[in-house]
Amino acid sequence: MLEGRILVSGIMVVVFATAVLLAFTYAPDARFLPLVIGIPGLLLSCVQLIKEVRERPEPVAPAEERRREVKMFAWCIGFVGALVLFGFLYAGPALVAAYLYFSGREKWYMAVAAAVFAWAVLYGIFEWFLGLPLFEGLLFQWIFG
Amino acid sequence: MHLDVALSSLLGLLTTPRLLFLMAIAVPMGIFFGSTPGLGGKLGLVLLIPFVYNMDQLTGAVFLCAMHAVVHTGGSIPSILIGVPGDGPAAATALDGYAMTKKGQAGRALGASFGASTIGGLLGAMFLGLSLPILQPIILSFSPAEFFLLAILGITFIATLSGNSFLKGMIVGLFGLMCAFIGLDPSTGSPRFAFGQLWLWDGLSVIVAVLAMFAVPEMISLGVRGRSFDLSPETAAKLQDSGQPAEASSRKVSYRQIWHGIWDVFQHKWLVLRCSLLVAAIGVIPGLGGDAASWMAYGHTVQSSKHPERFGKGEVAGVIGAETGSCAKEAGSLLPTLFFGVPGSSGMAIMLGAFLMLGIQPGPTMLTDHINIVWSLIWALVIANIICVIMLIAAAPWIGKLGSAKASFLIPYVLVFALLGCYLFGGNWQNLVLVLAMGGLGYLFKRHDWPRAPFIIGVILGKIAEDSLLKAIGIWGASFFWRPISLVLIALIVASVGFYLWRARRPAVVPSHA
Repeated sequence: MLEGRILVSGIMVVVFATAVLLAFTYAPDARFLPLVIGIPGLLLSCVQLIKEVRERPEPVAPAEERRREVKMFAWCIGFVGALVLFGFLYAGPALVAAYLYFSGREKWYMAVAAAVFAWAVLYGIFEWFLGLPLFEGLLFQWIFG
Repeated sequence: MHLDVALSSLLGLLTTPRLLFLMAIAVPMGIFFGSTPGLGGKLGLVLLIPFVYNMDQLTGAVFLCAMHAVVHTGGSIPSILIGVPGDGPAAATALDGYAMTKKGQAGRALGASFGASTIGGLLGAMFLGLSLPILQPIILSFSPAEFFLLAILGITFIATLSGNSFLKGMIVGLFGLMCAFIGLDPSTGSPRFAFGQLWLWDGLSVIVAVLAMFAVPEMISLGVRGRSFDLSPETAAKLQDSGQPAEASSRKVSYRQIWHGIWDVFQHKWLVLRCSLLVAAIGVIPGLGGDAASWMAYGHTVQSSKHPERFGKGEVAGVIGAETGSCAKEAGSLLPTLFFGVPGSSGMAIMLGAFLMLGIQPGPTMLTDHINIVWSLIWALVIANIICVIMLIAAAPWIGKLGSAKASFLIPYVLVFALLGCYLFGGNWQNLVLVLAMGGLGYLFKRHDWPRAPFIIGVILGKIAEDSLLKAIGIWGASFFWRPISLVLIALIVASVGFYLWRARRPAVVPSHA
């Protein structure tokens, strides 16, 4: 399995290589500094990648830890996905309740109370008191226009 | 020096209950805006401007100034307790502040932060008051050439903040600089690295960068660990030896710890003085930005320390340096805003608009016709900082409970409000997706000991460096390097790099920083 530290160095190599290739497509004035920064970045990333590949392999993280990492990444994707689709006012409290109930193993009434508090802060402070328009979600935008 | 005006302005503030009352309201508002990731002082000013519309010049200006003066002190609270900075400067505080919380020293870190930000704010205000007559010609002599070199000086601190993983630090710093180039190219107006996305034409906001690199990785890490924070093995062992329950003892924020932190500030008096003067002077320079000033203060703290290996692992001097820097710059950036009508920072640009709305016309006439307003604003900075520290010290044990909140409660709230901050800052839902992608990378950085601070420095200074370089070359060509102030700055850059290299040869083992 690909080690995390090699993966990070590999990502940096790909990022800098892409940036340098893209920079070559820009006008001379626009590409000057991206190339001045990007080329050394690419070289240093390659050196780091070679160092990581040559180093002795790290002990593999416990399976439980890796499972938790995957779970947390999934929750983060879920948070962003739900907020983008349903907006802050609806998805925000629902996410708080869902996380507390399913991941935090809290009692259902605690989860509901926390969700009500989140809604009160989102609506009361941000929308009502400060007058900041909260994102209503792509789905609601699509349905209601 | 207008001593009589200075004293009468102070007396005027202290003997006007309405002004004191408004400052007492403005301070908690500033703390709230500062401590909520994504809100910050700029949004706070924008939201409060309608409220000062009907106030007289002095009252409105004092109210806004008092609110803005304490924003960064508030920003240190989530940075220290949960490792989630509210803005760029607060990320510098998170490096050592959160590490102290993990060591069971949250109270001491908060005390050091409150003390340093208050003294930094006071020294910054004193700097502003005393330098009024002499700074005008110096400020006017700064040009894009000097801005560029100052940005380069800031970038050299990347090396200092990289610990023993210098190569990783440089890569992350260069990555930050590359991210700063996202958006419209200042010379040709064509989009770069925007991938056909209109919302990326405005560039990558510092808020998105900070929340992606710090808030998201900290929350993922918290979820993986399953508890509020990890005690370092040494701290856990010490607490166990003393017969105290490790979790409970480490989370408690007592007044004793707070005073310990404040005492630390006095023990680092020369550091506080140096950082305050350095940052107030940098804050004076229009366009360089307050975010850069705070990181320069932190970089100076690490660079001047006899034990750089301790930074990033919970060194109290790191909190003191960063916090002094965050607050001292406010006074510095007020100077060009008031006397030249040129904002010293983005927050001051909004403040400038508010001053104009109140009928205060910034410019050299402020020194002759409205000197009482100038001194009232200086004193407002001082009084707001004092009110702020009193309020925060009194509330510290309750504020400290934030650090002992259960991870399962902290994670969903922080994620929702951090994502809200990202949305509010740019008004783009796409920022949420960007923060998720960059947050994932930030977690990998954290997991595999890649320093994250250089990324923020790169994002902050990249744009300034590019804009200034283009302007300098446009005005003077390559000969801008030979301007007298440029030569002084080049000497400082060489000295900074040389000092780092000299110290890197010493045998001390330097760990990487957050």
